[in-house]
Amino acid sequence: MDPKTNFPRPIPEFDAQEYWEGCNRGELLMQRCSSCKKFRWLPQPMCPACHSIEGEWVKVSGKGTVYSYTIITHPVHPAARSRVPYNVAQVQLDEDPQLILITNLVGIQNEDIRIGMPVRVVFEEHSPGVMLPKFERAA
Amino acid sequence: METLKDKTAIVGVGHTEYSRDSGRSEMSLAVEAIRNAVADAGLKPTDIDGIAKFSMDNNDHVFLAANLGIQKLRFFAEAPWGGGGGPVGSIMLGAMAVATGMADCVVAFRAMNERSGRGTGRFGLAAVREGAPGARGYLEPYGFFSPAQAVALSARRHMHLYGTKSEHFGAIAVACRTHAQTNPNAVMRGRPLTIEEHQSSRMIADPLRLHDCCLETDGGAAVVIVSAERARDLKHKPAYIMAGAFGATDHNTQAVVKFLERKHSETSVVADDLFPRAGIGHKDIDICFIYDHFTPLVLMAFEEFGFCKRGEGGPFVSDGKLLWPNGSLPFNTSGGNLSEGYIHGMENTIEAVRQLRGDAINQVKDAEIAFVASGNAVPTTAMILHR
Repeated sequence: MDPKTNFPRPIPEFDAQEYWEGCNRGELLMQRCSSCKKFRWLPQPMCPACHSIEGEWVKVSGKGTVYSYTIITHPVHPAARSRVPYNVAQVQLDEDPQLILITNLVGIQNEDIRIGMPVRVVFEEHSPGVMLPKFERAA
Repeated sequence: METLKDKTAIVGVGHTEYSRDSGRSEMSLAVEAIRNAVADAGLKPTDIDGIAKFSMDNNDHVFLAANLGIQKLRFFAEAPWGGGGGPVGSIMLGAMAVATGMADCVVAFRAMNERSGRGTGRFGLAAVREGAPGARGYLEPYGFFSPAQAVALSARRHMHLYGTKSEHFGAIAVACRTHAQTNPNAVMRGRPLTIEEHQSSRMIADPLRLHDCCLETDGGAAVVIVSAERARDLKHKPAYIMAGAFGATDHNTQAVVKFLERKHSETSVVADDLFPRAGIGHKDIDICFIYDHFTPLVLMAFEEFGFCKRGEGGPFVSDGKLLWPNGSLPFNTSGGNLSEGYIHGMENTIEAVRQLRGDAINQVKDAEIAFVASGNAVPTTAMILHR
């Protein structure tokens, strides 16, 4: 991968290996406390609600809504130069309002993006062996 | 409970030229700013026995001390989180050290070549690398890198929730630029800005326009903190530190992104402590300095610090109250990060001290109490000064 023509790939953290492995299988997994069953994001070893260190990764529906978005026109990375204007969005997952992911919306014109728009997850290849969760408009 | 109230004071302020390319080292900027601040206080560099720096500042405590001829450095500390913890945070570390006898004379400073990139690298450019580690791995693969892009998300959400408009953000940019026009050290002196020019400036990350984003600047700025008792014998009228506070919250794990509907923000955590510690209310503030990295975050800071209700920041900043000399709450009277120079808020701190001494260029008549806040949307700090 040429770091000048592609955005950096994720380096999976120790506490988030399952997340990225799920993405590579086409499944969106979220971390949930095994004890109190509360979801959490970002990945972290302890449940901030009940302080259990027993966590589990569960497949979620992949459905959510657009919480906010921006259209980036000023490239701050060389790989952005050929991509501007491009969108970055926050998607709030249906399972828990605390689950808000940073992502790109695909298959939609930037000017058609709206806050509150229903979306669903799709997986796109970032580089060989790395799949990223992105979101498309849900019918 | 014992507090820091009025136990310490800022007695000296100093800075270098603010420019787009200093042409010299960051150490050179730091020692010149510190030397000027110490001289302003009527002290010598060797009177310094404590140094509090921004964690992100490349200048090391002991190299600074060696350069300044300090044989006995009794206190060294650093304040994390860039422009959030940094400016007021480093000053508060100094104040706490002086109040507890760890040191007698602490300097807090920021010096960097952020615009030219000599030593620091330009802040607004993303690192080119194959892999993004840790929490950056959830952001950079999507082309999401810079603080401006993160602030754009929060700004868009604020507009959605409350009907805030780009013109409201513009009012903040225009206030800072207007104040810079009389400041000989301001990078943007001679380049006034109208709201129409703000509205036609190019988009950086929608809804953030060019003029919603602060400058990048080469320069250094420093302040000197001593006990209130010692301050009374020095050259200038002291700027007493009434109160200070630090604050962070759980969503600060997410890189400059705010979650506006949550009860606590880093800024509200600070506000909850700051005003009770000072023993005053918002109406007692004569002049305010709010870290102006991005205009929407200034608007949100006014809300979260309690100057107005949440959601009312747009009208609050747009009615002229921020403008010197006629506004009721003059704001960033030397031009701030947006128009004087982006010395990560230390330039605002210097201006606050000058206002309380009564020798500022855009002097607010009878300014007695100044509110000084570091950057919103990252773990942050604020203080209240009085003359």
